[in-house]
Formats: sequence, structure tokens, C-alpha cells
Amino acid sequence: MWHRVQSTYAAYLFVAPFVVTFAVFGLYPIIKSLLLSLYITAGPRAQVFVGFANFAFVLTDPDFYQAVRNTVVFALCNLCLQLPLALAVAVALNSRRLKGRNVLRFVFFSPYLMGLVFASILFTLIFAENFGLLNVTLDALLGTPQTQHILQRLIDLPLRWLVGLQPGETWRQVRWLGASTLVMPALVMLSLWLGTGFNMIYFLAALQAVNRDLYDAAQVDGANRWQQFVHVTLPGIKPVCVFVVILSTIGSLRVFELPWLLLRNSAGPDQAGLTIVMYLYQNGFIVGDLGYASAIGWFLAVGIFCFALIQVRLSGAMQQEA
Amino acid sequence: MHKGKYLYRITCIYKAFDVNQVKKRRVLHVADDQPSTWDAFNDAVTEFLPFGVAPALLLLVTLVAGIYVASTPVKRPQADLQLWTFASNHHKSYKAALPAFVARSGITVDLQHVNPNAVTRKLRAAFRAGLKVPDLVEVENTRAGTFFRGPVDEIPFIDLKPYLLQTKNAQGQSLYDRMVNNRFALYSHKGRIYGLPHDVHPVMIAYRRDIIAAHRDRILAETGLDVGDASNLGAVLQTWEDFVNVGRVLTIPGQRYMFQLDDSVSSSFELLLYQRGGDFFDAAGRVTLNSEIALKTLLWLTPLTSGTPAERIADRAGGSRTSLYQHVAKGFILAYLCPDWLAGLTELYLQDVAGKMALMPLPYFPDDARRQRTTTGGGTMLGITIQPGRSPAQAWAVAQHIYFDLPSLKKQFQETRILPPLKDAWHGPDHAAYIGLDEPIAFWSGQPIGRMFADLADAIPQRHGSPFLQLAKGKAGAVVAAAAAYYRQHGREGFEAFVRTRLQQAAAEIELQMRRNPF
Repeated sequence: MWHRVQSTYAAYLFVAPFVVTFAVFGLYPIIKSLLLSLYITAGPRAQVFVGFANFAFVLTDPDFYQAVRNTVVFALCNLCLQLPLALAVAVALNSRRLKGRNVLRFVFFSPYLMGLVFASILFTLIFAENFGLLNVTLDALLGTPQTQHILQRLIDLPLRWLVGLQPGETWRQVRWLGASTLVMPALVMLSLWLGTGFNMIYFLAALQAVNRDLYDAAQVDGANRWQQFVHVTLPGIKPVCVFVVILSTIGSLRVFELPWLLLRNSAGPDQAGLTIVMYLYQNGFIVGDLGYASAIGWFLAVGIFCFALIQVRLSGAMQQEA
Repeated sequence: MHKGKYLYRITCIYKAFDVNQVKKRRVLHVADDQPSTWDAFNDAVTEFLPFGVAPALLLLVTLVAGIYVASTPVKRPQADLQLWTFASNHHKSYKAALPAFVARSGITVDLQHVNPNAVTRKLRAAFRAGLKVPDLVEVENTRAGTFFRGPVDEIPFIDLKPYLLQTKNAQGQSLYDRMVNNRFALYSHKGRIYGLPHDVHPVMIAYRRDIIAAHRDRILAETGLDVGDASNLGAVLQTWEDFVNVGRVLTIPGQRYMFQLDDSVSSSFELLLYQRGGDFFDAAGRVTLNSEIALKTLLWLTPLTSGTPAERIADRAGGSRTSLYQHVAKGFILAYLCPDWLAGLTELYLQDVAGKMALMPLPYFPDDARRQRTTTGGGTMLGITIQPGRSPAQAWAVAQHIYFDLPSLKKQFQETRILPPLKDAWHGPDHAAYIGLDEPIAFWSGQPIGRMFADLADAIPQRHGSPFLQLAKGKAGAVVAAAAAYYRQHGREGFEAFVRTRLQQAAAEIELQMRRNPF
């Protein structure tokens, strides 16, 4: 009898903590936010029912569009730079001929252990003008026009144009966090530093799972290293690639802490660092309009769902083709 | 049961976490000829715990930890009132001041230091959820307005105006009349005053006296202005034109700049806007960011930060206070806008240049008939929250003590250099001497900076609060950054038209958000 009771209810007992937690902290807020998005909330208590006016206003709000633009640019940069870089590092560190690869793996992964908050604060110092590590290094490498070598002069001019340096300004004066055109590159650089090692771990695990016999067979067939990579490695790690791409996309679309901390609790010059979640936070928790913030949240959720769906469908279609 | 068997069972439970260990153990049992005990134990466990020992232990640990946490709640001090402040220097000052109040009145106060970003969030969440809120709370001026968005009868702070008018001194003067009236506008909404101003925050210019004095001859030769030992620069550099001319002499592009101005956010722009008599909103709450004053301010400021080497005398110095201290200490920046609170922090963090710094009133704009020589930067209000069924009298008594009690004001000025908004404290002979406003301060080259700030304080420009102030500052910052970027790329060509358009656009965007507010 006791055994039967156990086998019937034990499973419910064990899933109960998750179900209860999800219902309280997941399901209820989702329903509540949907209801809230139909109101304009003002001040701590007042709210007025406005139907779908918040959703309509989102579509006309120039700040929301700027936030979407910035977020999409950030996500694309992350996808196009971080993931190939992570894969390249993983392939390099998977080589059996590389000495000290375990140490190198740790070195690449270690920025992730540092944590986002600390890394952001650290990078505010690294990106600082005049005395920041990055600018001091650039100044040491590229020097001033009077002291430059011919090779330095060749790359100096286009680079100066790229970072917006004026005549008379030195490399110490690059305004990474002070110029609207450089905020996004600075964010992407920090994101690369933080996330490459983390994604590398996924790729490394996938690479180690690829059957070595396939490489031997390819070698016998006369395939060179590049052909082996394209025809053996990539198909072998494809499921992990899809997983990492989806995870990275969702993470990038939800980016908030990174620019918020790096730009000292602001959207940066000309709102160049304004992201969707940051705009949601500003409206909900600074201005106090939880209704509008909820509407923004729903746009974001639907957007992420669509992105993920497209990616899954595309990868499924590719798998079928393969 | 044999003593060794207890130990053995404990070892089994421990080893159960690790499958490999269990396997090894089983082999060991065979070798030790004791496999039956483990099997019996394992069978018994499986009988009652079908998911094994490890999940059961995890469940047990969770339950024990949960029960422990639930049964030992964090003990909060039992006090009659609770006070939240977000500034560490305020916290320090009130902590020292409150024991005297408790001894005198018998009212106990639980003083809490809350993170500046968390104050508004926690407060709003507590109001919304109907949880206990502090009786008194300090809110930063930019955030204060967000509490005034709703209908007047739902604003969670009491109207302090009656209290300010009824509280009178021996001469019959009300507290309202004895304070800087310009300061109330920031915390007022629809004719009611929701916040007691903590400060006035007049602004001067802090500068590296030693470096400017060292270039006396060059400055004299190139501008005709004799700065002497630079200890009284305010008398020599009366207009911004003079200041900029001296700046052009002292600035070495890439190595040294006369002034710190930020062209990526609104912070510097807004101080200069107030000095000229402009504001983000007028008394009726209408947007004035697109005013001619705002346009003139930006047209003047941008070439100083983003112009050609011949025009430029300013740098943003990294855009943070920590970075500013570093730039000043190294002589990269010679001068910066300095409210009274920043003077206190400068003394704290720039000890390397003690005795080499000095303060001067702001130069006035040549086209300003008022010859305004100060502005105001920052601010904090103290609000008394509406508590159902409770009289705010006790909270008002606390507010009066921490904001107007003389020993508290003295401590506040000595530790933070923050000038109180109570005018008696500046001019009353007993008050000023007691607080130490006239004392020369060695850090500032012997200048009596308390007196210097007090002389300017009554002339601070009026600023108007708004539920949309934070938004307006963000929009203004975007225009400042865009203007700087434009000027760096195109110079003066089309600059005025560009700035005018951007200001109008920013104002329209703020109005768009304001129109959504149905209250």
C-alpha cells in the first residue's frame, strides 16, 4: 500500500518545488504583466485602463526604435564576430599538438568567471580617455605624428578617421564611452572578451565528440585540413552550433547589465547604448510606468520567440537538406 | 549494534553520492567479506526512498535550511520611525545627529542607508504592494518627480507647505520664509510641496591655483589679465569671455585643458543652462528645452569641447568623478564646475593637491544683464510618507532635527561642505561662526569657502521639478552629444540650424510622452 502511494505521488512531490516556483515566479508574473500592459500606471498606486494603447504607442515611439536598432546591431555583431571567434579558438585549442592547451583553455574561459558586473566596471577604467589602459597602449603603439615610423603612419590615418580623432588629438583621447559612434564597438569588444571563452567551451565539447575515424577516413581520401573542417567537423558539431546560435541570440537580445554598467547607469551619448531591456527598465523602474514597460516586454518576448523559431526552422531545413 | 557499524553506515550514505565510490565499495565489501550490510542498507533505502539516497538527502538539507531560515528572521531594530537615506555622507551625518534627538524626544529612529538606485525602486514597489514604507525618505532631485505623476490625492508624500508655514522662530518668521525659496520649486507639484530641500548646492569653479599662478606672465602678455597668485581669480575673470581667453593660453591640445565640460551627457550643459536662466520645464510644467536660452548655451558650449585646437579649451576628462580627480591631480584639467558637495569630495579624494586648489564664482555671460555668477547642481529632498492612521508630527520633528539642528548642520558642513538651505545658518552671527562658514580652509589655499558659497547661495537660479525631468535630461544629453559629433565633423557650417532642429525634436519627444499621462 505504502509502496503504491509512493510510486503514485512521489513523482508529483519531486516536481512540486519547480511547479510551485514556476507558478509563483514565472506564470503569475507573465499573466500579471499581460494585464498590466493594458494600463498606464503612474506614480506608485494610480493606474488607468487604456486597452491596447501602450502597444500602439510602442510602435510610434522613436526611443523604442532606437533601442531595437541598437539591440539588433549588438546581437548581429555578437553572432558574426563572437561565435566564429569562439569556434576558431576551440579548434585551435582542440589540437593535440598544442602544448599547454589546458592552461590556455582556462585562460580563455577565465573572463567569464569574473562576472559581468566586475568586468563592466573594469572596462570603464580600461576604456577611459587619457589614462585608460587601451588608449595608453594605442598611444604607445601608434605614437604621435612626430615620432611615427613609416608603417605606423600608414595605418595611423585610417584608424584615426575610424575612431573619430580630430587634428591635434592624440591616441590617448579616443572617446570609447564618450562618442556615440564608439559606444557600440566598445560594448562589442567587452562582450567578445567576456563571452568568447564561454562559447568556446560548448564548441570544444562538441569537437571532442566528433568521431576521429571520420578524420582518418577523410585523410585517406586525400582531404586537406580545410576540407576536413568543412565536411567532417562542421557537420559533426552542427547541433551544438544551432544551440549556441540560439542561446547567443536570445542572450544578446536581452542585453541590459553590460551597457547599463559600462555607461554608468545611462544609455550613453546620444542613447547609443540604449537597448530594449534598458528601455523597459527605465520606463518601469525609473519613470514608474509599469504598464508601458510590460508592453515593451511583450514586444521583446514575441521578437525573441520569432527569432528562435526562424533559427530552429532554418537549422531543421538545413539538416533535412544534409 | 557494533560501534564500527554506525561508522560504516554513515560512510555508505556519504559514498552514495558517488556511483564510482559505491562500486569500489562493493568490491571492497566482497574483499572484506561484508557485502550483505551494504546491500541490506541499500535495499532498505530503496524501499522507502525510490529515488535513492542522494535526492532524499538533498530534500532533507533543503527542508532543514528552509526551516532554519523561516524560524530565524532577520531582526530589525524596534523603532518608532524609519528613515532611509541614499547618500553615505548624509547617513554618517544623521547617525551622529540622531542620538541627541532620541535623548531629547524619546522617539527612536531606525536609520537605513539604501543604495541610490534602490531607493525609488524599493519605495515604489512597497507603495504599490501596500507594504511598510519608511516614515521619512530622501530622494534624489531627478527621481523625485517620478512620484508626482499620478493624481494629487495618490501622491504618497504629505504636503509640507502647512508645516513650513506654521513652524516659526522667536521672531515669528516661518520656516518657509527662512529657507531658499527657489529650492522649493524642484519638489513642488500643483501648488503643494512634497519635499524638504536638504541643500542649495550653489556652484563655483574649482581650479589648480598653482598651475595658473605659474603662468601669470604668459597670461598677462597674451590677454592683458593679471591673475596674480591666482588666489582670487573670481575678481580677475569676471566674464566667460575672460575665462575662455585665459583657457586658450593655458590649453595644450592633448596634454592640458583649462576646463572640464562633458559633451556626451547633459551634466555640464544643464548647469550652464540654469546659469543663463533657462530650465527644462517652466512653472506650469511645459517643456522649455527648445528655448532660445538652451540654443545659445549649446552654441557656446560645443566649440569649447569639440572645436578645432584653436577653439577648444575643455575635455570631458573621462566622464566620471573618479576620472576627473585623476585628471586634476595630474594637471591635465585645470578647472571644473564645483557644487558645494563636490568641494567636500574634492577635499576627500584629491589630497595630493591640498593647498594648490582654489575656488572662484562662475564668470557671467556677457549678454546676461543679471550678471549671474552661480548656478546649482544636484539636490536631495526629504519626504514624509503618508502612513494610514499615523500623525506625521513625529516624522516632522525628526526632519527638523536632522535638517535644522545647529550641531547637525555644523557636522554636515565640516564633513561634506554642504551648505544648508536655512538662511539663518549663513547670516546669523551665532550660526555662521558656530558652523564654521568663515573659517579659512587650508586645502583651498586658505579661502573661507563656506562664506564664498553662502554669498552666492541666495542667487541660485530656480529649477522646476517635473515627473518627466529624468526623461528631459536624457533627451538633452542626446542633443549635447549629437551637437558635439556634428561640430567635430562639420564645424560651424549649418551648426545652429542642426542644434535648433535637435532641440525641437527632443522637446517634441518629451511632449509626446507627457501627452500619454492621463492624470
